[in-house]
Amino acid sequence: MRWLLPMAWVGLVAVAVPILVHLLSRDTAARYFFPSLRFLDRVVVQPARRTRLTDPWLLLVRCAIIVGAVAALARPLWTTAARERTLASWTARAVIVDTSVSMAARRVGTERALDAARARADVLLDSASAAIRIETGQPREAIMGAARWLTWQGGRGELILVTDGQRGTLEAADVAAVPATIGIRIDVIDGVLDPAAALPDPPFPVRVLERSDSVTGEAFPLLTRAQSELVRRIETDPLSRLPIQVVRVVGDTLDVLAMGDAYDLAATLRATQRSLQPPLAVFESDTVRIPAAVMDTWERAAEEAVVARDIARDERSDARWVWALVLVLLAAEAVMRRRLAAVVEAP
Amino acid sequence: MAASALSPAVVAAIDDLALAARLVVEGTRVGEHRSPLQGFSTEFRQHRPYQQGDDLKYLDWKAYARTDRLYTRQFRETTNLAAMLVVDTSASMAFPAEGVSKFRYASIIAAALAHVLTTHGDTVGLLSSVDDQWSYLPPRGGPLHRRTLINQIDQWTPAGQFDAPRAIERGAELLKRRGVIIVLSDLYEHEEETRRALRRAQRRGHDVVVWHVIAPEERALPVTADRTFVDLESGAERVIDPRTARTAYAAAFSAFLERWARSSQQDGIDYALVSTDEAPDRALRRLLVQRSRRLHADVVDAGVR
Repeated sequence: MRWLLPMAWVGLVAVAVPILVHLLSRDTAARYFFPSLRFLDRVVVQPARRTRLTDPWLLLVRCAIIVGAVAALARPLWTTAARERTLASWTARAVIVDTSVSMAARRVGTERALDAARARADVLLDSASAAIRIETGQPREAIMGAARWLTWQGGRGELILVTDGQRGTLEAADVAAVPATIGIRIDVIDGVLDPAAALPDPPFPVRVLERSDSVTGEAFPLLTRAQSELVRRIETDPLSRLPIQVVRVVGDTLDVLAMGDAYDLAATLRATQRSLQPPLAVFESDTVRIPAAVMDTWERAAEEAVVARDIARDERSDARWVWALVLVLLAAEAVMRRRLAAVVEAP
Repeated sequence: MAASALSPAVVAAIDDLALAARLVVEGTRVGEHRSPLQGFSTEFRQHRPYQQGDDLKYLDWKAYARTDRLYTRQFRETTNLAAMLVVDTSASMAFPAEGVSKFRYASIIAAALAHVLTTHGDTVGLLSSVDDQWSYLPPRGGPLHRRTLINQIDQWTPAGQFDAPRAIERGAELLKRRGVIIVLSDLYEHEEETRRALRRAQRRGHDVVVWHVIAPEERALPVTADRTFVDLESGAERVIDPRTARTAYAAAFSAFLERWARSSQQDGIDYALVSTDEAPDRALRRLLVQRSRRLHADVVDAGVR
């Protein structure tokens, strides 16, 4: 037996309602008009105890109705052998396609790396039982959302990143934040920079700063005061989506720490530079890619143990049988209620 | 043997009380070789040896001629009986709400009795009291008075509290000469005072008849689940668990009935229990036959003495 919507069991708290009603109903016991209470005065009448439930059988049926309804809402699934096989092969996939500028600037054969990545994603999505595609220029920001979606799906979950593997696309901390039960795969799209689409070499040397746990990224030592001014503007520009942090001033040179894809940073710098007066010399950086050995350590398979508590959303639940049982119980409750009401009542 | 057995529910469902009463009276006659209706007449004569001071007009001279002894003819009652129906119209008589209530049953019996007595030339009065509101018709005879009696009974509705002792005493006072006081009540309230009032009425020389009307639902608590029991007369409420109270209640109620039967026997009061599930014609016949036998026994006892 599996439950396709186990959260519905929260509804069991509703069982407290009939229990309370039956506990408190002593105070509102039906009125029965009787000729005289004098003989009821004389007899020792056990006071109806507050802890004793009135009409326990009726209460039992009412609780059963609620439990049945909640069970039906939780979508029960009786697991047959065929269903078990289906469930065992069930996989949810979240495919993140890196759409950063570098993906557009690279070529795989005659097509763009981005198109190749999308085609790869299509294949991966088609073979999944449940899938979601995320296209973003900032894959790091999408990872946690994808992980949450996979957790919600239950069962075997795979998070696949299709990227060119530029440094800054993914960090060890991002991988560590993904729940251990979710598998991680990185499909690297190899390709060469298209000369037509490639950015010119930067007119200044590029230097990589030391990494730390909290700050990572590429560093761009800026040579001129004008270039420094440009970076400052970007840094303070609320419209700029690239996180840039000036970390060191050496003479006329600023050491700038840029989070994320260095190629995107360079493109942004260039775009911003055009609007500046006087115009500044264009500077940019070539991309530095994450070593394959590092990416290998980040990859892992989905935990098979998770498959046991799988949820098959494509299976039709057996809730209808439970609903039928609930209907029978409702009929029984109506009969019992009528019988109780049939007890001779007051004028 | 009574062939008729009118269903209490059917009789109670008849709106016309006069018709219902006539049906009940007719029912008592079916299959009887000797009508019990004769039994109510208190005309009674016996001989006893003459004692000094006896009225000479009651001397039986023919007996003297035959036996050479003086006998006095005794009349227990005149041929024209005066009866006073004292009917309980309190709220407790409205029980049970479903089916035949004690009040409706008592009304039918009272109306039938009025029919019987007036048909035989007796005079019948009617008295009830609820919350100090008196309803009274003086004893008279005749078909016109019979209709008035039955109309009066028909207009009553059960409400309030019935002061049985006062009603009985008042009824005894209002009977100008010795007669019969017939009490139809469930006798719940003022039990001891009611007994004393009955004894006082008896000491006044009246013949006292008590027909104790109960519903079968009163013998045992008819509900099983907890209920707020409401006293029909006082309105007092009490939550009762019938499962724990049933046995003791039944015992207390049986003791109540037993007390009434025993005390009535001791006081020489003509007491009978009437249950609303008994066919009213059969109940009336039983009551009349019972009374007839009792009167006969009195005669025998008097003869022996």
